[in-house]
Amino acid sequence: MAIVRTENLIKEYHQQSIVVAALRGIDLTINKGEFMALVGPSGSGKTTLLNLIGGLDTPSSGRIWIAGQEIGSLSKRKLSALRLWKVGFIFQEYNLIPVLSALENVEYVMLLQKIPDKERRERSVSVLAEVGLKGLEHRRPQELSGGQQQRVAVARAIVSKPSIVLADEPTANLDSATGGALLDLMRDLNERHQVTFIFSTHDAMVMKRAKRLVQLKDGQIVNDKIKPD
Amino acid sequence: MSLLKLAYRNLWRNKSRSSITLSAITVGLAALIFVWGFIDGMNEQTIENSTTYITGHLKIHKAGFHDDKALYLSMPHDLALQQRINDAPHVVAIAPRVEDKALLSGADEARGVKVIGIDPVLEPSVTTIFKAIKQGRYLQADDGNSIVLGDKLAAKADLKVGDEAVLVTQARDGSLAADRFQVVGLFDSGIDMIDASYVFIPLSAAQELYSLWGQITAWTLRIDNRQMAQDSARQLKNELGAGFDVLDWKQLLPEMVQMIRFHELMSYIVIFIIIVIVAVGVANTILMAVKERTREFGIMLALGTSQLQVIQLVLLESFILGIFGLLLGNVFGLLVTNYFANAGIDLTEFTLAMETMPGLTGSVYPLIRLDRVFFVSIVTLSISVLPALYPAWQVSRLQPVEAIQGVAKNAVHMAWGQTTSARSSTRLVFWRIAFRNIWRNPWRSALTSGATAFGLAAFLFLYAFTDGFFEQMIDNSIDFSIAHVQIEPKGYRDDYSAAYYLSQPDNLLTQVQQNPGVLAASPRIQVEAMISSPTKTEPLILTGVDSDLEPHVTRLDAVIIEGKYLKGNDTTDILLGRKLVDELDLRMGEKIVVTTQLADGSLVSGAYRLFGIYQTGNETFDRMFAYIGLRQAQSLLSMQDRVSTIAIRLQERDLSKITASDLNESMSGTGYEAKSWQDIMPVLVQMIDVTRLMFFVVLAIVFAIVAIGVTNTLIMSVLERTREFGVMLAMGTEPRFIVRMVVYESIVLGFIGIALGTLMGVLLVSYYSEYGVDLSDYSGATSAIPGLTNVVYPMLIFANLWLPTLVLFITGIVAAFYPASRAAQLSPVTALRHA
Ligand SMILES: Nc1ncnc2c1ncn2[C@@H]1O[C@H](COP(=O)(O)OP(=O)(O)OP(=O)(O)O)[C@@H](O)[C@H]1O
Ligand SMILES: [Mg+2]
Repeated sequence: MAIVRTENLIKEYHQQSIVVAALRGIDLTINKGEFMALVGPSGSGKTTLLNLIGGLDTPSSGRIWIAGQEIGSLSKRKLSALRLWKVGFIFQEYNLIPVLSALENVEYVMLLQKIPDKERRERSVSVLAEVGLKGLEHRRPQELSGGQQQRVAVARAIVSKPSIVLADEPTANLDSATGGALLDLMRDLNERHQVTFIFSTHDAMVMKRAKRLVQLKDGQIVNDKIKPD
Repeated sequence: MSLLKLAYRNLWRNKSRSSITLSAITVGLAALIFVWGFIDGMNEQTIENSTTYITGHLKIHKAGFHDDKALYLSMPHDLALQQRINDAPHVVAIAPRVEDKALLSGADEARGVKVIGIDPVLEPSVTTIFKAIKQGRYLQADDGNSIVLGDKLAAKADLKVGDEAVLVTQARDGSLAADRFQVVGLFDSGIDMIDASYVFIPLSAAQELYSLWGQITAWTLRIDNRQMAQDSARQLKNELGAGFDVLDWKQLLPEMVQMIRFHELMSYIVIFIIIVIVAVGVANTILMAVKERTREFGIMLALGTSQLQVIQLVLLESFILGIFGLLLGNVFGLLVTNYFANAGIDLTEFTLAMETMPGLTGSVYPLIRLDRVFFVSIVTLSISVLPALYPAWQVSRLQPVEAIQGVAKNAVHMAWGQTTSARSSTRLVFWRIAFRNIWRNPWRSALTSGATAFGLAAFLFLYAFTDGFFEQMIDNSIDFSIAHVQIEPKGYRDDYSAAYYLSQPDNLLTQVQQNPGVLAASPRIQVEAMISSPTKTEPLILTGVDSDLEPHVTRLDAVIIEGKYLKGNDTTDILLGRKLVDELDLRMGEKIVVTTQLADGSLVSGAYRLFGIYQTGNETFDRMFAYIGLRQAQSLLSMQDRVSTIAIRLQERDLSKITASDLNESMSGTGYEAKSWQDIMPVLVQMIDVTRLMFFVVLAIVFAIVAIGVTNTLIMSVLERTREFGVMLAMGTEPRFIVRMVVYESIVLGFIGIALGTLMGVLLVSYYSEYGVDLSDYSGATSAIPGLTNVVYPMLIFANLWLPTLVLFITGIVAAFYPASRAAQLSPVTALRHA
């Protein structure tokens, strides 16, 4: 079943009078439960594509369906709701909310979802334990290492059980051991909960573990390879 | 690449940050220029009008006349000497005068006026009242008994051009003198004090009236430079010798000088407040702008930039901004001030109040003074550069790594809100984030709430001060003179004359006392009169009171400082104010003569013995009234048992309007009316209004600056957190929650600021309400104000304060909406890409 589908997706940036075509006609279908990666040289359009899929940005033309729903027609508010309930984000720079503790960062999404206090607390604590941060729940982001912060970000992205997690170079700032552990963790979640993971990466380790590699070049898909299990 | 170029580009790179800083500097400077211009304009106008309409720049008297003003101190009109003075350096023109007081009566009433006998040919080259002639004409060389008077006075005395007026006075030899004059012209200077109290007659007619043949009391002079009046006076004095006094306008108008000093003091206070608030606003913005770029500076340091260069860069940037702010602020400030300097600011609605400020007309024309502009420009430039020093120095000392990592040291570990509350809703989490964001940058928050607090505290104090000021005026006026309500014949208030009376006052008294709000009532007679000692005559208001009833209504009996309060109603005892007694140089028990007019216009005099002296502390009261027994007044004025008014004391001051309208209802058709103290003293009510108006102007400026300060702080803190908002949006936070969060922050900041400001204000007021604010240095200014003494006790009146406080609070919140909605409208992608 297609959880993400794009049709002739085009994204152009207008800089002064120059038009930069970041994506030039992307047709892509991603099924539920995939663990896939967008690869390609710098500037090829990976981040742009992830942003469009996550509803953070709107395409210049073309259409996107998330879980069967066309998102081009959604209002800002509906897009917010879509991101809240269906999509989790992990960024290269972790991007935690600095004034909230690890636990509160994880709780934040569920607060927006109005999940009852008790359930929210329990789930956050257990997700944090799952990503290996037991005992560090009350630390602020500044008091955590990069790897720990990225774990919080992962916990935050998966705690509300989204259908898709979009991760833009999640391991770029981590050493290979930490990155590897984090990938294991995500792979595990992917297998157990059927969460779809879409990465963008330059990291060979990510490419190795991904089940599917979509290669971009100059805003176009030049290769789409599903690895046999 | 030179530092200058780099600084310049940095400013352009972050346009919103730069424009915020710039706007803070610009608005602050423009406000300073305008406020100062307004105050200078007001003072300048007062001096110019007062000196050129009536007084002149210098006056020459026979030695001693200025202190005594007695006619025997006149001097011969020496034409040769006059010519010599005219030829002296700096003297532009000279004119001889005879000046004294008199009673002016028109159809049927008399009132005290200041008479100026002038040479119709010479006078216009010294003073400019001739320019203000509105009807008829100015005096001419061949005029005999002609008179020119102010339109206000004419209206009160019911005189028109062509009518005949009578001047009654005491001549040089002490005899009573009177003469008829034909009204040839009316002037309207726009200054009520002049239009209501001066009359001009030809010099020759004045010499005749006062028996001063060949004599004058003064020469008045115009010189080429008013500022140099003191020097010119000294030079002339040296030349003329000990037989003469030469006085400059500052000595001639000491009350005005004091009033100007008083205004200047007030303006320095207001300007100081504005400077502080502007300084905090600008400092805050610059502080944040530098802090925000810690990382950037870290990279520069890492690349080998020296600490000194970083500091230079920061200073250079704020200097460039400061210079631009200076230009813009000057342009705006000067444009606005210049516009009003030509158009004037119309305050005619408050003419009665302006009357208390001699020399002021209905419009104020702000004055641009380059030295002021220069001063505030320098101040503004310094406050836009100096605050950058601290963060620049701090940043330059950082290890590059620390700077790049965003200074972990800054992490404030907060106990507050750390223990995760049992219950939390979406709203609560935004409150929590808001609170923590405020703590995240404690300096910024402290400065922001500090500015609010300071503005509010200063405002509270000034407000309390004026409230204390007004309360004193009202209470003293009520206690010592007008009581809460008076019943009087219609028309009496325009003309204190025996022609207006209440017949059968006893019936009225009984009727009044049945009103539940009435505590006491007392019948009175009040007419305009003149009091004469052997050497001098002064106008005043003669009041006949019932010595038993009156103390229950007004409390003059409590401020007798010599002798006693009146006993019995039919003695020849008289009670006078301290000031008048000093002026007439009287001693207890001495005889004086009071002259007034009967209802039919004929003059009567009575002789009285000084029995007691009262002192209220206010000069107007202590000079303007004389008290005798009611019977005595009735017989002097042939009024039988009639009285002028019934003065009433109520249970409470605030009942005045209700009680007056109650009484009016019961008296309808009688031709009598009840007037509340507000009706009787419209000056007071208007003064309160005008002061309130001034306060609204000050308040508006303070609020505008506070609002800009709060907005700046929040815009900066929003800019700083652009990325964070991007993340929140990416995670599905609705934009309206982000608006809320930013608004919550401003609510907290505003709340802290207001709590602190109120606390500071209340403490300040409590201190001074205990010890009072001593205005004795400005007694000239305060004496013009009825009821005011030299010490003012500030007073916090909650009813007057909650609104401005609330408005300030709301201003802060409203100011937050701009940055908040800016944050909410961010596209998540742009926000996330924000460096
Ligand atoms: N906001 C923007 N304005 C203008 N051009 C942009 C913008 N965002 C991206 N681009 C351009 O679009 C193209 C694709 O950028 P994108 O960030 O998607 O690349 P990427 O594949 O993620 O690269 P990297 O691997 O370096 O992260 C690039 O040429 C980039 O310069
Ligand atoms: Mg990218």
